[in-house]
Amino acid sequence: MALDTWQHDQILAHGLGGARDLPIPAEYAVIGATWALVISFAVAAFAWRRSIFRGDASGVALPRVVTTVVDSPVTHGLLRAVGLIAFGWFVVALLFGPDLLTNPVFGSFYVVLWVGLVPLALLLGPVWRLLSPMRTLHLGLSRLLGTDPGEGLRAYPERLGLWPGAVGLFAFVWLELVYPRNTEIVAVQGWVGLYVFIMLVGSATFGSTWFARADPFEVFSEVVARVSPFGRRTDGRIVVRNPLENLDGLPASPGLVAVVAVLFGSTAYDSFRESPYWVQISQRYEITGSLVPTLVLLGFCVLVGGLFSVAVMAVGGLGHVRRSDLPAQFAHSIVPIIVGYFVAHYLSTFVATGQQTLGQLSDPLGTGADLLGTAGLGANSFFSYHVTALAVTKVLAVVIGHMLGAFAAHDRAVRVLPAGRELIGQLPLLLVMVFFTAGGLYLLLAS
Amino acid sequence: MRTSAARDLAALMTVAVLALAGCGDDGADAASGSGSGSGSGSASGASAEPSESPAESPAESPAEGSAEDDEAGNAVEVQVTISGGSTTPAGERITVEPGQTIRLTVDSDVADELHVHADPEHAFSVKAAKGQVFEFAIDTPGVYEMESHETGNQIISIQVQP
Repeated sequence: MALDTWQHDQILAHGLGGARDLPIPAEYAVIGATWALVISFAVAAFAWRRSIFRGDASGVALPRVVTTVVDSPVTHGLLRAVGLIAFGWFVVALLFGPDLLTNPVFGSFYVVLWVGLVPLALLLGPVWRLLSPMRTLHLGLSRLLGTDPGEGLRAYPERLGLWPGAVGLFAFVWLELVYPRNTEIVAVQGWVGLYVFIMLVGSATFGSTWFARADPFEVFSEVVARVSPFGRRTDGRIVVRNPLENLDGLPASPGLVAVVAVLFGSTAYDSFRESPYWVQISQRYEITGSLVPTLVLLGFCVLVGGLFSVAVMAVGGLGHVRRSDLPAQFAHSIVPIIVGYFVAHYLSTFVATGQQTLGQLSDPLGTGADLLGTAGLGANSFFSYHVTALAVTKVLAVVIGHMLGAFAAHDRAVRVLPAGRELIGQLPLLLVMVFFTAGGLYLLLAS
Repeated sequence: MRTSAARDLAALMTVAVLALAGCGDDGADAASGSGSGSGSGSASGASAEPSESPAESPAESPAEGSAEDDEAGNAVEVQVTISGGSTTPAGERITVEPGQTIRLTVDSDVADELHVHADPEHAFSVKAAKGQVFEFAIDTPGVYEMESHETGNQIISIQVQP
């Protein structure tokens, strides 16, 4: 019992090893923020004046064999099998493993899955669609019942767009960042149980479209995959393309702004809640329970979404686009900023805890087994001893993300904003982007 | 012309960022707090020597203070009080070097346990007594939290800065 509570304490300290990153040096943050500012205005002032990105129509086709292999039933079957086996492994540990932090469930769920989705999508594109165990289960059920997996009882109401996905993402970050008992196994059991239920009922109702709109992990993966150099062209070929072209093809669905706001707002909140500033405030005012942290997390997300929307809609005089459609039209430009900040915030955790989890996965039931031969692996402390490399990587990730975001926003501005307003119209957005980037750097400095 | 305007803006923002950064640092000094000097007879930690009182320089940051000392005396002193369910310090950041000794002097009115979430973890059993002294050090750079197990409060965070 003592071990139990001791172990539970430990993850509250964030990261299974207990250590958090050192703050980045102040001068790095200042240099990063300055670059972000200069880049933004340089892009607005000197870059192209006619939209050059062509979204999904762009890209250099890879040899036909690549498309054939990627689309082959064998590849699909293999990836589905991998996803299902991994999920099965996870579920066994979730249901039958010990309620201890040494259970691989926690590291798998909060770090390997959540953080790992980003490098997976950046390197390989939207593969979650195929790995997704819920999609595979839905497919299997449809086969059993002889129904078409794409068809549900009714059509998905497209005006909802990605809103269910945004809600799901918020539910995940709430569990990860707010819920005080998130390292008790019953919390993960409850969340995953609810997730499976909602995915299966939703897909039975609306067909597999449900996953693309409501599965938080798929929504996350699809959005991040738009910053990868791989994609599918409108003619069906797998192509390699400029990530900015890829990003340009992200559909401006309803709810995309909410998705982006939750992803960025929650990552910022994660930095904020660990800062001495917030720790001291919450202890001085004896903030206990989860109501206030929930509101603060929600506040971060609403602040991000609200500032962004107001800035985008602030353009005076309109052309062919409705003002209320503008935020979704520009939301893609925040995606690289999110990815950059996510890398900065989670890189060391991913390396350290990811390796530790790999070790724990060898013993899913806590019986001392070594099923995968990885039992000896502990937390990787590489970044603990390469402080400068980590700090430089963080600032570079944030600045590169900002730069891509500024380019994406500029191209969209010269396309959709009315003639004569393209440059002035993007200034509020650029300022908000600089605010996000500088705010992110400040949190890396102060936490 | 445009570029120089952008530079001015950059400079302005630099100032803004620095000004903001100031907010986060207030707490660091308080943790070095004055030793209570209430004797260390009931020490259950490893420390044999009586806790010295660095009371003369409460505003000095612990890391700077210790950097000048020689190896024997370079422990960072932290006075911890657990009283009526509240804990002081209340989440301040202290900065130490890897391997540098951190010496806690604890006054408590209840039995509690202090946890330092480092690898290896440190756990100290606190009794309802004054002047209990505990010592530990952390070798791996990073930021670590020390919590009171009973209240769940974070007492300090320890920045191990190489």
